[in-house]
Amino acid sequence: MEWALAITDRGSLDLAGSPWKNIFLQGKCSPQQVVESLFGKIRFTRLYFGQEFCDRAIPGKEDMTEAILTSLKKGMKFSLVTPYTTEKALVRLEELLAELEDIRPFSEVICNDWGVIYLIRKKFSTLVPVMGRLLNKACREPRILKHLKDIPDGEAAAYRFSSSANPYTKSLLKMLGVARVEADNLPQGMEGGLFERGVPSSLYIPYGFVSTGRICFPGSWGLRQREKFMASGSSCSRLCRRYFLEMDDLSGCVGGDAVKSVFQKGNTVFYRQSEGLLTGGLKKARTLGIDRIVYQPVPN
Amino acid sequence: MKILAPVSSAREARHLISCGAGELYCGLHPGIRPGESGKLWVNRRGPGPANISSGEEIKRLTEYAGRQGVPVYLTLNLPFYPPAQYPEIVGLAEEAASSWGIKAFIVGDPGMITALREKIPGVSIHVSSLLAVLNSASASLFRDLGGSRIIFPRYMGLEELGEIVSRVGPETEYEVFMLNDGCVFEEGYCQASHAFGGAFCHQPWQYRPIYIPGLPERQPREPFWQHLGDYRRWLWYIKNCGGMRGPGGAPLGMCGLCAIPNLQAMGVASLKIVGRESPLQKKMASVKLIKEALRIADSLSNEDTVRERIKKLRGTPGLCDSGYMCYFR
Repeated sequence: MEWALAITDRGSLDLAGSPWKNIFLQGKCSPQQVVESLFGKIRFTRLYFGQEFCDRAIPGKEDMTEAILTSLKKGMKFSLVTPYTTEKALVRLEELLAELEDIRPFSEVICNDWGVIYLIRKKFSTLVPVMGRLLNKACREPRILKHLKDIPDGEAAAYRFSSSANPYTKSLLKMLGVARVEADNLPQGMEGGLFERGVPSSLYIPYGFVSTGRICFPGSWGLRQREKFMASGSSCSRLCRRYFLEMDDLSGCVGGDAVKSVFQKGNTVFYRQSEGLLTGGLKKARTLGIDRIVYQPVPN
Repeated sequence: MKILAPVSSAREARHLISCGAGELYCGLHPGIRPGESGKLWVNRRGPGPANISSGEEIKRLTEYAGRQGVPVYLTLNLPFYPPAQYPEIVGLAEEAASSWGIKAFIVGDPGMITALREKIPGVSIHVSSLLAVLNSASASLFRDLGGSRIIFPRYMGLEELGEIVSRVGPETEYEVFMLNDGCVFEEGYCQASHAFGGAFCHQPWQYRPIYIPGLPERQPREPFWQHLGDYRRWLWYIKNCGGMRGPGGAPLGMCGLCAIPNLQAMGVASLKIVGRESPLQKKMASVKLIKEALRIADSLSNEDTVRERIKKLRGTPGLCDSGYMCYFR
């Protein structure tokens, strides 16, 4: 099993030296304990660097260079993580990809936008596109556990698949030169198959994403009323670096053993995997053909 | 520029076309068929008013619409299908294209686009907003995969939209959201399901900001409760302004009418009305509203005057001025 450490920004690169440092959600479930109880002491041999969710936070060339240097110092391979991307941000991203191809050809690029895969295919042939988890659609619904017992078995099985688990998507990915597919650890289980057989694949821990969008609720905090909740607004105070929003559910719709909590950080809602879900996912990883675990100390 | 209206029956088609709809889209929920792998959901809505329950009814609908020169499209817009359902959906699409008179399929899954192109030669595919085409590279990919029309997601900036259209070119058709129904998140990247108690984002969540140690704490001057109040106000717009109607009887809610002059200039072909499940009256009022806005846009040359007139037509200047009701801002 390959272990990758995912870091979103230059300011957090020191985590490459202390990946298990608990800087984000405090709680009883320690991913380190779960991982080490199943795999023993592990070493992170790959650094994921960049943003999955926000194209305003695409790193600059200097940030990426710093991350590449960090990965070299730590003896880690390097993957650039990229978000879904507006036309404006695509220009910046293209420059970043050109730089990456120059200084570290044959690097992986985690793509969470079909356009970025296409761009790599057309213009950056030494870079290796990976289908990020945002493109690999699945039911990531923290409320599902309350409903699952009422759903007939045949129908419930449909929720344990992902969009890459079929031969047509596999052939499309092959045509586009996509080398790997990524996924979340699903609250309802993954028995149906997250991936088509024979495709290298990764699993993210300890957070799964539920929903994300260009309109950023926390990012609008403090703006003038008319400037709030704009998808194409230019103002961003980067409050997502300093705060997240705990989401309490008064109706009790989120529950069960798999989801520990739900929260919004920046423009994205996440669920935190419980110890049981984490253990179950990691145990099943090999049988599902997963050969890489991506650990995120901070979710975005 | 055509008005694309949602339709749930042949009877509705008659009314919508007479109001000015130039294209129609529908959904199908065929229920359970013997030998199938489970309940077959063809699109993002289950049984109920959003869907037509049989191919025969779709055929009646397309026959009527066809006589008026109005094409009908079928939504196959689940973000993904379980592997076992691919042959069933492809079979259904084959039948819909060859026997029911469906002119194009609205598809939200790249695997399904590949399957349909492989199995049904000449099939016409509209790339669903579920595929979140936010840039010209993405639009080019889906064009190359055989998409004849790109349906842009909500909340695109007009400038960016224009850039994408000019880069991808006029051989592809473009469609945008025009009336009714917003989304808090990016529809194509929302992986919650309305099936589990409604929209996840509409749940009455209580939010509490938590400081992340490491960086200096720096709260905005605005108290969080005040911002939360604005967020809930914005949600009210997203949720169709509580189902209210404007002075002229047109439904309130997300709207892109003011952008019509810009959209016309960039070559957008189709203006979409959301809401297959809506009552016929709401659908008709929506078609009439867009038709009148198009008439205003065609009759005046000054874009600012067009916008003013369209705002007047809406009849809710306060809501318009908030900006929260706009698809394009």
